[in-house]
Amino acid sequence: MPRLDKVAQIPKPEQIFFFKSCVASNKYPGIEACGTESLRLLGVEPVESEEQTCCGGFVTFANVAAPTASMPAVARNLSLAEEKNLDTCVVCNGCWTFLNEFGHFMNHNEEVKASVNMMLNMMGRSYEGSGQVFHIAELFYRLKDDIAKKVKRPLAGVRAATHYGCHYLGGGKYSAIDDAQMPSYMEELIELMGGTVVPYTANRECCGTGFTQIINGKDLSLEHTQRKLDSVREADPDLLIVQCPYCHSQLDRVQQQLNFRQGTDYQTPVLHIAQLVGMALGVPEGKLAFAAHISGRKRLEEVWDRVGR
Amino acid sequence: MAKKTLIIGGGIAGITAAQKIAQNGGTALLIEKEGHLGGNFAKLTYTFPVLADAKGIVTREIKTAEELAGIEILPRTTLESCRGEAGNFTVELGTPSGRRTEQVAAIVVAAGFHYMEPTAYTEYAYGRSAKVVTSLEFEKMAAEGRLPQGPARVVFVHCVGSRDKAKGYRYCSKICCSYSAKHAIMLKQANPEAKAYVFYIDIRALGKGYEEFIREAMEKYNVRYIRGRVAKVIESGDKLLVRAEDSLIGNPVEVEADLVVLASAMEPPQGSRALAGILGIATDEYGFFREAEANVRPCHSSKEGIFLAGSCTQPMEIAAAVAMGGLAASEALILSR
Repeated sequence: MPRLDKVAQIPKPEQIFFFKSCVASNKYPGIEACGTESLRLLGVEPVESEEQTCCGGFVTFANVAAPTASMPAVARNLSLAEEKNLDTCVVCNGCWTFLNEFGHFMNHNEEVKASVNMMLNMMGRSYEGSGQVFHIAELFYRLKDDIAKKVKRPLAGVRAATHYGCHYLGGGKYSAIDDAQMPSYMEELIELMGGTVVPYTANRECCGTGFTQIINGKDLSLEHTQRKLDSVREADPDLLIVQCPYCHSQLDRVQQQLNFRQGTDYQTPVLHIAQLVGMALGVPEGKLAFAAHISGRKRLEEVWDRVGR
Repeated sequence: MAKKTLIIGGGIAGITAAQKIAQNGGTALLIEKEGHLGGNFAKLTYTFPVLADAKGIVTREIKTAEELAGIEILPRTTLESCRGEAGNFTVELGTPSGRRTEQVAAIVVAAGFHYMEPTAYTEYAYGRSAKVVTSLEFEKMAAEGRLPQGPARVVFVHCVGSRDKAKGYRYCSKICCSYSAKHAIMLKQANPEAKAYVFYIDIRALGKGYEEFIREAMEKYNVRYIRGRVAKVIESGDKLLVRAEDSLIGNPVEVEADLVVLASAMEPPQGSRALAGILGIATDEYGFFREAEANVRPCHSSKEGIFLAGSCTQPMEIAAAVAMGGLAASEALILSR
């Protein structure tokens, strides 16, 4: 059960600071296009900033930059939202965990906050720790009644499986709006948009990206993804719904790699929850940017035929 | 005539305290909130580290208490208020036939413990899958002859709620290593075809007979011990998949299971803080009753004239609860002369 006490604490804002994700922007532009478009349809105006940078998560966890170096990046990015007096909305589990965890760390360590602010002051900025960071899936869950009312393309006959991703499941100690070990809000969203949820055994398994494993330990990474994909294929959903562009990229692209290396035939389309909500709310087909998707394109076309373009 | 001692809780510590007071010329008033005596002991099938008939032993001890002239037993009774001081307390009791006021010289708190409901451990599918049970439920299954039949695989998970800073209690519940071995042996005795797996962090089987007991589970009953904490229990068809790390070889392991038994933590009895409030005694950070001095005055509460016995002070095995019941009784007798 989603933790209703926490859900109720999420405001229904008129505006929200829309935090762009490096992976989503570069690999699957449909995620941000659908995210902003869907929020608008639900009455929330997304506000973007040209000055925003990468959250800093990847460079930190890949050991390219020390946490002390990326902490000011987090503070700076959050200060962009603060100066507009807005909360932040992210589309990526990485951004979500990183901004939330480092924000939490700075907010509870005055010395760290002060030293970060010394650096920010040189840029003419400061970090207060006044705003909150929500995942777009959480905002969608908060706005679920509005979504239910505004469904244009009901997902009737669409069988969808979910994948929440480790950095929501594991990183959700302070922030998750759900039982972080066994969340269920995406399932609820799928059902209220008219779709059918398909359970599968490896639901809570990692996608295999393992942050840098896909780069540094590719064989391990592929082996793990294959286990996940085998379990997905057994349940045979029309769509696999993720909420993180890293998971998205791994689960979508590794299907093709495995098919090429091993002669397998994995063909499950992977969609971000923002794209699924966009699809249901009637966002124009072009904005979903399915041209960027690799696996299961035929099946995706069949889904389109079923829900109507 | 000697003044009375009020004993709160009719488990093995409270029963022992009542027996010793009566056998030494005192008078005990034993109140129990349930309808019958025996407490957690009465829910067991076998004792450990010696596999003896638990029901038989506890029935014998209850009978002894019932037959002693100096003990009055009040089932379905709770303490409602307490005034006064050591040697002269006025207590009000809520009994099925109404409120009753008593004068007592001393009070022994033997409120027992509660097995934690591991509802926070959703990663172990507790509450979602009927095939994931607590150790207490396993005892009940064993007593009712409902243990898995045929070549079933049963996985025992240690430290569910114990030694867990994140979601449970920081302390070790002390008895789980031994009772999980007992459960595995019970399973193998009832069904030699079954396979038993125990996931442990380390084995805490201190004292005479305990280490031997665990060894017997491993060597005589072929219970497979795997060092590692279980990460998740996944439902897969009509089976359960138990994912863990074997930390001795550093590899992930997966066991397909028909039943998973969670050794849930011993926690303070329900309502312990409210009871402490009525009595005016201190509890610790967990809600266990706090002893005045841990080593040589383990049964003195923070208030004179109120004594503690058994697992309402900390997780302990039956033998320790019995010893503490006896000690609390002799302290109470000093005040009731």
